[in-house]
Amino acid sequence: MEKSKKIYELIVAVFFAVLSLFFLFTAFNTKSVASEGMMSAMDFPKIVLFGMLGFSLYVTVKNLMTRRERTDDTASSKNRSDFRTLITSLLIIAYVIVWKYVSFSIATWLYISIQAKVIDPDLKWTNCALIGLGISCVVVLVFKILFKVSLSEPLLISLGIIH
Amino acid sequence: MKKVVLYATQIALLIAMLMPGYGAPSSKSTINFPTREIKLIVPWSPGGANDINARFLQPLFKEKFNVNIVVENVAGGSSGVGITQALSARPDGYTLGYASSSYLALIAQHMIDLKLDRMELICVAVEEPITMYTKANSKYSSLRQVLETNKANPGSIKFGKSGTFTTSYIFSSLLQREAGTKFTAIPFDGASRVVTEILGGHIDVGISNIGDIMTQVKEGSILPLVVFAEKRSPVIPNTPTAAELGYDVFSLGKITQASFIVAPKGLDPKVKTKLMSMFREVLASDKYKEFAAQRGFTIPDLKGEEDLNQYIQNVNRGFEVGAKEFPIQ
Amino acid sequence: MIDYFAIFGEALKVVTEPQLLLLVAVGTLFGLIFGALPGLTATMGVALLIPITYTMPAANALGMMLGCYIGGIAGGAVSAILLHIPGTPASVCTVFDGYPLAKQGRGAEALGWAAFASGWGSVISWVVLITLAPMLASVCLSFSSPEYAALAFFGLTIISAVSGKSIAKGILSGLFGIMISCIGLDPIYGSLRFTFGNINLLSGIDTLPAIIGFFSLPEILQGCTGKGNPQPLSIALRTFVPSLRMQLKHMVNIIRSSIIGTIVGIIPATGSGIAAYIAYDQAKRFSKDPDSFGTGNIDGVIASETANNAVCGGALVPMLTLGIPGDSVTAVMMGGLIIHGYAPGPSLFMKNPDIVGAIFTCVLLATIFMVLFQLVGIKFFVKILSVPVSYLSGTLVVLSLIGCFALRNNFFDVIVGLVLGGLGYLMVKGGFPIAPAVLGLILGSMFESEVRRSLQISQGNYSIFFTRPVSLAVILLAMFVIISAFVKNFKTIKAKKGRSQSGED
Repeated sequence: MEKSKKIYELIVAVFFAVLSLFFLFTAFNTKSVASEGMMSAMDFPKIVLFGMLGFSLYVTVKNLMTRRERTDDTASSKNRSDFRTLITSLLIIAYVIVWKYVSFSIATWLYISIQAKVIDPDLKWTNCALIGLGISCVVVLVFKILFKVSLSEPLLISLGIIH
Repeated sequence: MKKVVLYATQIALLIAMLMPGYGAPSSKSTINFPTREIKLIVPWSPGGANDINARFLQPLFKEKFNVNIVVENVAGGSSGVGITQALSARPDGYTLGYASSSYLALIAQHMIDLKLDRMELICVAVEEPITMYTKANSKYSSLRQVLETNKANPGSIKFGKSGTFTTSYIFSSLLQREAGTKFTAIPFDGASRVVTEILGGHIDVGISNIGDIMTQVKEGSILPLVVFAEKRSPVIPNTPTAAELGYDVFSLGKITQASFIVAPKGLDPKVKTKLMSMFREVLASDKYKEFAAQRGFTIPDLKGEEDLNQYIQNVNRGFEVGAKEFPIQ
Repeated sequence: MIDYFAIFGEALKVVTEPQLLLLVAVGTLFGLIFGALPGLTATMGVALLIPITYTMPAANALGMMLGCYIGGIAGGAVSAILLHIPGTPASVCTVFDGYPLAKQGRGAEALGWAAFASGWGSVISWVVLITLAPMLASVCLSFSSPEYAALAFFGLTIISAVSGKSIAKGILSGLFGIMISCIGLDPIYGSLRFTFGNINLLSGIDTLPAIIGFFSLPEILQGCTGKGNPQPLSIALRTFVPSLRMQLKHMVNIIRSSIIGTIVGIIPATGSGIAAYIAYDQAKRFSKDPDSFGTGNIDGVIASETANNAVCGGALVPMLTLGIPGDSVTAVMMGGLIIHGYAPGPSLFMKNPDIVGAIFTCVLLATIFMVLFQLVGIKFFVKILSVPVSYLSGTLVVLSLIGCFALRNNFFDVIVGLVLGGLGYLMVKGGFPIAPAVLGLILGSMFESEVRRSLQISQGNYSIFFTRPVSLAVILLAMFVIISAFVKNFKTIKAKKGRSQSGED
């Protein structure tokens, strides 16, 4: 098995194990009553969670038991793409925060522009900004104006630009 | 002396002018509302009975006042999310919420931190009578038969309801307590499932709003047994009320399944008055009345703000007591 | 009995009325756009049409809504195939094979097939609707909680079919989906489960934001690592209109998927997502080459798209014959009918053959428009693939997150999409299949609540599942699926062990 895949598999399996343990803990600490002979509110989730715990432990143990194979990852290119994924993830999180608390349209414009530059550093900033502006205009036009999706614009509202 | 009278009248006039809504006749023309579209938040997914009732207001507002009402569905949390959003909007009258008794029930359960005093009431748009029914031409033709059967053989009547802590839940609990018997209750996700199960003969009786069984009543495939309201419903005039059958289902207070328009607290009184009068006019229109008759709901006749607040508080109090007396397991 | 002459007369009137034709076309186009944009569903589209169509004659209003319905379900294929974003739960299964096909440069072909498959599904269910509707009404009524529970159980067994190589990881992923579906108010007692005091969790995690997050974000995160090279596109008409011979070749699959879709549509409160999953599973099972499913087998796209559009005709059966909505879209449509003063139900056939005729004709018209529009549109749609990755990635993130938001206008759903998207990325990297999680999410709550409801009906007696014929039949079918999957899994492991010692993954 590929080294990176093995690590990710372990992370997910452990995560699922911890998650199911946490939910089990919650389930056992939630009062759940039922009329006699019936399943109570937490019975079904408990069954599912025990199943989840069992399978995640199985996957974890199996993962640890398989011998790690030597893979000659060409380290530099691999690291670089992992780095890009990380940056993109952070960008997306930042985007969502700005969307919520500042302005959807501005956040979208900034995000698309910066994202393009991250993926292809050879692009010129001005190009990124202009194309980003174009795309976000279309998005705002379609969703906000045409289909009346109320995407939050606290900044623009407080500035009195829109209602 | 003359001067005193003059001053007094001047002061009185001044006070009168400062008082919202009462002052000089010109004050009515000074509020310029609405100047743009009004957002009406419906706290359910598109397609439910509440959503359709709310959307019906759109053409009426357009026709009467040339005002656009934009319905926005903010679903989630048994209507809690949408109404919370509506009530936390800027109180300028351009954001309203389409709340229902479900929201009041949610408050009464105290599972989530919600309070009644955070809203301004604009109008009660819909009051849906609750009815208990069975399949037409089945074993049962009256409520008495159903109750007797269940008494003879406890739990033999399978009783379908939609949702858990609802207006129907309170009424059915009260009925069962009054009659001294207990059905086997089966909660479904929606009223249309209850109707399907009744038609398929899988359960014996069901309970829901009249609107949910209108089609089947007209077709003659479902027989309403009792109406949980103070008066008989004009759409099913042959069905007796619970009181007529000798069961008091209003002992907790006047609980109804109502839908009402709310605005965030702190609304300009002038805007509120304007909104209230606009809604009153729309609700009194023939088209809306015709729609109400088709959907099987009524429009409660509430005179002023007092009436409105009283109405909603009654329902909420009923739920509060109901939550204590009939806790859901 | 249906008065076919009256209905036929009305149908003729409809076809010769240019205004109505235009409205059906506009409705269909509107629906296609709605379906193709993530987060905007056919249900929303039809709901938006209610106030617009209020002033029109009832037939025109219905025509527009039906167009939107049929277009809305079919349109989901576009974003599913080209972008790996299922616009609606109905098009989840289209992603499995449609997207790999697009990656291989056969996007236009997949879209062409999707258009025709949707068309066939719609037409076949239409035939069932106009000929058998009154007789099928009893099918809807025979379904009660034990049957729903059995159906959900059957659906969950499909986890084995969409698990890929490792069945343990597939089951784990499926259980995770079921676990998510447990969040929120308990369906029977109304007590809180895993809500942690958050009002947004009261009604649980919504399916669509979860699906969008699960499918789109991992794909974008994986794709954003390099410049990528847009493929050269060949978009001659010949390449994407499947020939008649090819259509005949896949006819068995088309008919099977249509029947599955129609039946699932007739059963109230199910929906096109389940239909597509079952049809996909069956197509894989009957295929001569089941291993190619998930890597770009056109039969997967055909099964999914045929079935989800066949649901349309099926869902109209309970609406017209019993006055009960078959799914969420027909629920909105019923509201529209009522606003126009018609009570949907059996007497509609007697009292208003004009409306019934209009519905029958408009379904067919909308289907034709839908296929035509899609074929015209394909040329433009596939241009998306020639957009450089640098700009496409960002735009897709924006579209997906709006998609999460737009369904309920609730910002919490964006966070749901984001969290599950991040988890989905790790899962994909670790070789966990996503499809079982989505299946668990769609079916988990249905399975649980129907099982518990059945037990309430039987007062705790489990025999209720085995003493009712329909329920028993479905359960036996599900058992067969499970056993055959295990036998097959066992065989492949054995074969693998025989070939090499490299271990499974």
